[in-house]
Amino acid sequence: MDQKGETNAGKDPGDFLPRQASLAPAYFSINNREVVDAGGSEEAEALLAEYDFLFYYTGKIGALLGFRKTYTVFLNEEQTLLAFQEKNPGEIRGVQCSRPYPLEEALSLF
Amino acid sequence: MQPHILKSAETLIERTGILGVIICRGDIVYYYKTDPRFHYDQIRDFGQFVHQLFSGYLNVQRHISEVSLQFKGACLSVMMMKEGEAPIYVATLAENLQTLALATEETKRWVAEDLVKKSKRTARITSKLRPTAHLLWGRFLSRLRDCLDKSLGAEAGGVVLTRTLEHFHGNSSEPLATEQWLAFVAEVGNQIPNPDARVRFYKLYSEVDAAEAQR
Repeated sequence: MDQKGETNAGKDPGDFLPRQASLAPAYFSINNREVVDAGGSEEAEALLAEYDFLFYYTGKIGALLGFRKTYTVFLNEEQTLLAFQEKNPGEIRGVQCSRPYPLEEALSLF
Repeated sequence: MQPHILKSAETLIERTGILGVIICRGDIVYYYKTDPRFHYDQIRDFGQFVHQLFSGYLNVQRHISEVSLQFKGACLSVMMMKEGEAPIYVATLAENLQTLALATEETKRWVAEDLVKKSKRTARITSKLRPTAHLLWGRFLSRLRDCLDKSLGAEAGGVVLTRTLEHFHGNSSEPLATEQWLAFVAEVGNQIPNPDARVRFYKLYSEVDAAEAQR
């Protein structure tokens, strides 16, 4: 649930706001659904929405294959990388980069 | 699919110890080779979720090239190799991220066209053996139809077979690639709503198939 008490799970990503790509890896945290170190409230909302969308689908995929709980997601887009890592329940570390990263390189970001 | 891709997939599984490779075209599983712990039902539904995930982003003009996921005790990477009406996804499953990273180095060398197009050599052989391929495909469908009729009745059997062909975007006069036949049989089973009838079908089909193999 976000600050307004609504969840974004399973929503169309069209509802999301565009993310700001940063030149160097930019880290942020989500603690109990409060985004820390985002570029502003719009970006914070977008990150939270994206987290919900990704963990909704990846959770379904994992459950389907019999894997237990998603805790890291790397999303490579044309010119960006976005990654989330769940450290503890409700405690997520995230990073945005201005270029896609191969997996072996992305691993070093956390 | 080009033979070197098949060979590469098999070598990957043997040498790196990954849990499997799944290639989907849209939401249809086109090829898979996985650890026996995964059943076709899971793999089929996996293909559908992956397509939904990527389509969700494409619908808002976001072009995701790769999604890598880490679970407790396993991980996977899905690459979109080709966009369009029938996008191609290559999924690699592994027990840890280091193995996954090694394996995806290899799968990234694959070219989308090689994944779904027949090689010239295969095409030439297929062309020469066209009547044989059609004959085998016809016999395969006929065996399935016979087992379906006996398991759930002629009318319902016909419906199940038709739905399965639609699921594969195929038809009775154009043979599917032989590596898809196993998945085809599994999908026939999935299309049978009654669990008892499904068990009857599998039992009958395995007997008929074993008899056919001995011929």
